[in-house]
Amino acid sequence: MKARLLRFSKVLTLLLAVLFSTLLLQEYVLCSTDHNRERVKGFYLEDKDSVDVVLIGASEVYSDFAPGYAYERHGVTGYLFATEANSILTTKLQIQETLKHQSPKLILVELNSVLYANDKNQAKEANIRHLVDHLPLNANKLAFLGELSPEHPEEYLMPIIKYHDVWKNIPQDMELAGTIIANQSRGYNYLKGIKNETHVFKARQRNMNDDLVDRDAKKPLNPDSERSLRELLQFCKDKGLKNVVFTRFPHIVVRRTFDRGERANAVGDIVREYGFDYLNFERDMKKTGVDVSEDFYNLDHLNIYGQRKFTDYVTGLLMKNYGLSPSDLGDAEQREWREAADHYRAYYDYSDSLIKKGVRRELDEGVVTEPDFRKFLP
Amino acid sequence: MKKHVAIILSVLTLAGAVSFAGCGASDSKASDGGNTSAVSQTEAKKSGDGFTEADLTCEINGKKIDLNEDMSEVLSKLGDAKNVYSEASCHGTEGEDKTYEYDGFSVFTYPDGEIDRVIEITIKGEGIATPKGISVGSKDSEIGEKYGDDVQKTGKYLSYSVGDKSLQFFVEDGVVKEIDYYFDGV
Repeated sequence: MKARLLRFSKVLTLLLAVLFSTLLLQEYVLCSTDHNRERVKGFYLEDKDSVDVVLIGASEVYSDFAPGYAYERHGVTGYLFATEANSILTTKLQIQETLKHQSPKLILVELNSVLYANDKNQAKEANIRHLVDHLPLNANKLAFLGELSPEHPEEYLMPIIKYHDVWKNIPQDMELAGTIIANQSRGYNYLKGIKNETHVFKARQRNMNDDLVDRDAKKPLNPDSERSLRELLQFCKDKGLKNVVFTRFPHIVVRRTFDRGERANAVGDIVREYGFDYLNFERDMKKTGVDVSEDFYNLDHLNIYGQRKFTDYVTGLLMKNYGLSPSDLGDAEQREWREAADHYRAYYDYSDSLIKKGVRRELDEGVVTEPDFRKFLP
Repeated sequence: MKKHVAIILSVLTLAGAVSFAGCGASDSKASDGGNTSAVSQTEAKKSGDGFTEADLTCEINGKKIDLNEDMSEVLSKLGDAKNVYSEASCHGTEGEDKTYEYDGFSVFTYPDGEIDRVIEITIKGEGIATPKGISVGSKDSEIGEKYGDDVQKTGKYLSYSVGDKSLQFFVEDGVVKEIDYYFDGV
């Protein structure tokens, strides 16, 4: 009997060891360890109910808004719960996860995801995985997968099945694995999800931002995009959410992208139909202080100069009109956010120095351990 | 009997095609929220031909360039550009958007996996005409004569489209200042 018990416990120990190793590999090695993962994982490190404004959306969100600067200038805490080419299909899930972990004064949803020229971006697996692969396995995620009905649901539940052959490219493909581990051991990340590029973009196409200012013409959304948007708005309405505001961040508008501006007008009408506000900062870009010739790193994303102006403007506006107010934080949280503000200042100064030297680099949380960056910290 | 059926079917098909074409034209105007201005229909009728997919092939120095074409093929036709600029892509894909600057025109690309594909061609120099003969410096009245009245006006642009591809003319003071081919399917 004793021998059988011993054998059973040995088998159990072996099984647990295999399971633990598999989960460890899935979490840190055989996964996509890019900036999306770092940002999404970072969201769950924030202290419960400590974030005043959660920003949801695609790359515009993590390039255009700087939470560390919003805290320094206005005392407001924010987090960029955003992923590359974010799909409208995941926005409801992001709101659900936000409400589960935070009680933000405001949720700002950037709706670039419904303005694409066609519907293929919405259902693109990669765009969904940029978010869903990094979320904890919980009821919200399971419900989302139930609605999505992917061809291989097991790959979402156990991403190691999808990424098992990543080992061939180790260590190159480990990207931000070290940064993610450092964030987890510290308990928070410093930059709150920022990713930007050290570049001042000079558009070579004719600029049409001014043509959009007074233009009320509307272009219809693609059918799937409109349906998904309406489902999202109905969800927010049914939930009785009063703290959700929808928005369009600034972009350089050229003829090829002008239709998006007209689709954004249609989005505004749909959003208001459900009783929510739509802040179109692309149409009103002059008011934000953003300068087309100096403040972008490509057509769609602000560089650090634009990021700082826009963060200051939009935070001030949200405080004035939407009840956003300075955080009431405990000592430890204040210390964390002072560090975030210091790191953002260093991020800005370091980026500025690279731009002046003509060095183009994409900078995310991974930069904070680099000696050249650390020289800019107080 | 078979002959009669064939004639009736031909007539019905022709009538259907005509009414279908009419629907298309009015839809495209409605979608602009009533801001579409059409080039005079009389002029369009005079020309006898409208805008077709064939008009979306750009021809430069006798070399044909198509929207969404692999840029490596374009480079083999046009040779190296004077300047090449690249930026992180705006199209939700990994890689870079690139601008190839030549004398009088530029070719813009987007990354499609390992391939750079043409998304836009902008002509600003004189002497490069569309296959129907419009070039920078042409009068705006010539545009309608060549391409018909199914045009959309956006700001100072006159645009002709088939599906997600367009040819457009930037017109200022009644004169074409820029010609632009673009693909909106990314």
